[in-house]
Amino acid sequence: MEDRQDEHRMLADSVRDFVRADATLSRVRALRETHQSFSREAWSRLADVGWLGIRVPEAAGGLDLGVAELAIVAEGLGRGRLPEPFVEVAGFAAAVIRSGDNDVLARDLLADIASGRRLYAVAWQEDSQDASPARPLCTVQPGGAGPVLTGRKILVTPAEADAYIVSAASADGIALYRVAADAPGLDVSAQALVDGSRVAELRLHGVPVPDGDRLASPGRGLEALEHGVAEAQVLASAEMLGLSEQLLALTNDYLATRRQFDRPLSAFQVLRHRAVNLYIQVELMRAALRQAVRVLDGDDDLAVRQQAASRAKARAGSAAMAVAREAVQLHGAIGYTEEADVGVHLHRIVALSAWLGNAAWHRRRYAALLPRESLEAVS
Amino acid sequence: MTDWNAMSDEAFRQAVRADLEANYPEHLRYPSRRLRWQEVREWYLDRAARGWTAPGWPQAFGGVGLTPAKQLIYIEEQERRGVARGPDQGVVMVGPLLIRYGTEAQQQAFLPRILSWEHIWCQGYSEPNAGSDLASLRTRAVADGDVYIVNGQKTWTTLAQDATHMFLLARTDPAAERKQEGISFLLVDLRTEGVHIRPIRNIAGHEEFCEVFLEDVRVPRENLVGSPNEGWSMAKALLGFERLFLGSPKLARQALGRLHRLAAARELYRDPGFMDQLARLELDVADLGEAYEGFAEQVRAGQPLGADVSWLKIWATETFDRIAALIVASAGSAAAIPGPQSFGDRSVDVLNLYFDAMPATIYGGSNEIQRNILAKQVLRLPE
Ligand SMILES: Cc1cc2nc3c(=O)[nH]c(=O)nc-3n(C[C@H](O)[C@H](O)[C@H](O)COP(=O)(O)OP(=O)(O)OC[C@H]3O[C@@H](n4cnc5c(N)ncnc54)[C@H](O)[C@@H]3O)c2cc1C
Repeated sequence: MEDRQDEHRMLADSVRDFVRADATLSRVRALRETHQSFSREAWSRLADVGWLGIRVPEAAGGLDLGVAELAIVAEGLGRGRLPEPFVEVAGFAAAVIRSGDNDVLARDLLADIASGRRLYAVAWQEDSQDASPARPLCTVQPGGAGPVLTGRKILVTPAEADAYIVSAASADGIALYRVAADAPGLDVSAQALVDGSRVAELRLHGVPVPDGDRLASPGRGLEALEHGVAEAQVLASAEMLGLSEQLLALTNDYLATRRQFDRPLSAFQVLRHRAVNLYIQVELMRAALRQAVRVLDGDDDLAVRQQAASRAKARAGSAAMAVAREAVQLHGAIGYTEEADVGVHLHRIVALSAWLGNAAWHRRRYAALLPRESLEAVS
Repeated sequence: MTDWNAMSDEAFRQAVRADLEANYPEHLRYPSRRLRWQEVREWYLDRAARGWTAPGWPQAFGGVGLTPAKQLIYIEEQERRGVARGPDQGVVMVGPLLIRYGTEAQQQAFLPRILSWEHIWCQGYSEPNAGSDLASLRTRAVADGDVYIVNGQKTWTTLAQDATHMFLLARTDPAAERKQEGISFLLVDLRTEGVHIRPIRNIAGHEEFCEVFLEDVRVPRENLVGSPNEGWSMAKALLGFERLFLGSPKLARQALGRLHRLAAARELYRDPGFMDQLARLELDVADLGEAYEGFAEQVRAGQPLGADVSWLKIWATETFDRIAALIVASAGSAAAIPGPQSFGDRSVDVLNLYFDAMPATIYGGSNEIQRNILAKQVLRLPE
């Protein structure tokens, strides 16, 4: 335990150094102008330090570490507002791929992720109003030369992935397939979200999927997805924690340096209290995240993991939105500009809190997963 | 010529409503951002041609001369139709300033050009180091023969890029004992040499405000309004019943309408959790509306507004903000998508009101400053 704490501190420090050495915020702005989500060059730097392979088995070139380590990196990258889709690929896609039942394919894909050679995006969502992957309309059906996929996926992130992990319903359940971005019968159109990240809409018109591309069989696909979604929800919460920590730091700096009425804003007691309120929100997010990480690294039961993920994301979604809004207010007009760093963090928080279930959705799922006895104990 | 003030309030309201419904273009209703002059020009020039640029100015100066009661109706009907705001600083601020404090020459030089939109004005109060603490402004105006030489920087100047003129506050007596003294009102032609305007993009990506740099700008002495060093008290005196509009329920109502559209599209009315939040906000807006009417009644009776109107601004802007937040929270993963998008057969912009609500708690005297005013002047809490 002691050892791991030291290791975790060192990992957090190296993430901090990594983002400090990178002009992340100006890259976020430049990428938005050029309609790109991320830079391949920065992605390979993430591979070089090994973080893309944190959850990848050693046999596939990874570090085979836990959610704890991944969350530390996600938090640090969030703090620095690195534009690269770390949580989306090294977290979400890697977790889904690990949970499938095609070991040969999984090993190849995970090796690609760890080495930074290729990026994969999970294509599960079809309705922006439904945060559950359990009801795909996209189907896999036998075709003349083997099975084909037909349907539509939305909000697939990052849009520029080299291949997508697509969920599809069959008579026997939900299966997962690897579909290359340039597969025949696949139309991809991209759109920018509020944070400048790009998501794809996939239209699959009978895309052929050979057996070797089936990552999870119909008996396993949904569970694999759900495991991946829960992990991604926790990692998105970690990134939101990092973003919020940075907003708190920016706000404190601003209150200490901005002078009005012949004193720093930090001399006004009401503003000191408002800063403390932000701090409390950040610490609550940290607490919720800590338990979620513990559960994900220690308990295989899906319902338990989902409940922990919902607890973390319900907290992170509402707390980070509140912190972002208040950070703008405490900065005054400058906080409302595109050139202020506050906005760059706020945009990402808006996007992440809407991703994979917003706070309201997670509160509801949390309540639904409460054991009956504890509900009765309350009443 | 119609005597509008002689009409009953109801008849006047119907006349205004019918006119806006017949003539105000559909595609300009409830714009999702502050529109630029090019976009609203046609509409406002049409109004000008009919003599309706300045409903509140006295007829002697080319206005319609509406009573406060009729002006309120006129504004409410514009809100109802979703009429886009024009670059109205000339009508709202410069006109009343010159009518009250200007020389005859200033009135003749500027008022007709405000009415015709030949001149478009922007407000140059805030500076990088003078926001809430406006009285600490540093832009200097030094008399030199028949001109003032102005140096300094203004910022957050809304739509300066569309303006031809700026009314600004500048320091003319740096030796004055109190910092509120020694400030003067100047009218500056933005085409004068030494003026540089840089638009600033806001958090939603729109260029709605600007920085304005003033470097040895020569402003004719006759462009000083009122007495030198009296600018601060004139600026305060100008804060007439316009303050009421910062507390108007219009934005909150518009946001509620948006929320209902989304709720209908997403079938949220079946969700008791949502209904509780909706009802809470409905009540917030209903009570805001009632409180607004109370203050409007004062305006109609010709009474000045007191410091207590500050609470209306706080409640209006924070209610707007809460509704905008619930719109975002009710949109699921679509909340990350900017711009109008379809929900079933309805089109809804989820994020623009969220970004619109943000600065409303900052401008017009931030809500923190409004709370300070209430604590001091209404609750009379000792310091
Ligand atoms: C969209 C927009 C349009 C604008 N248009 C114009 C325009 O056309 N012309 C113009 O001149 N100006 C304009 N402004 C500027 C506006 O008037 C200022 O933003 C406002 O006065 C606040 O100043 P500031 O932004 O410098 O914030 P600051 O004064 O630096 O305040 C920062 C934070 O500290 C708080 N604070 C400051 N002092 C105190 C205190 N004593 N007690 C408690 N809290 C305090 C504030 O409330 C705020 O939350 C505009 C602003 C915005 C956002």
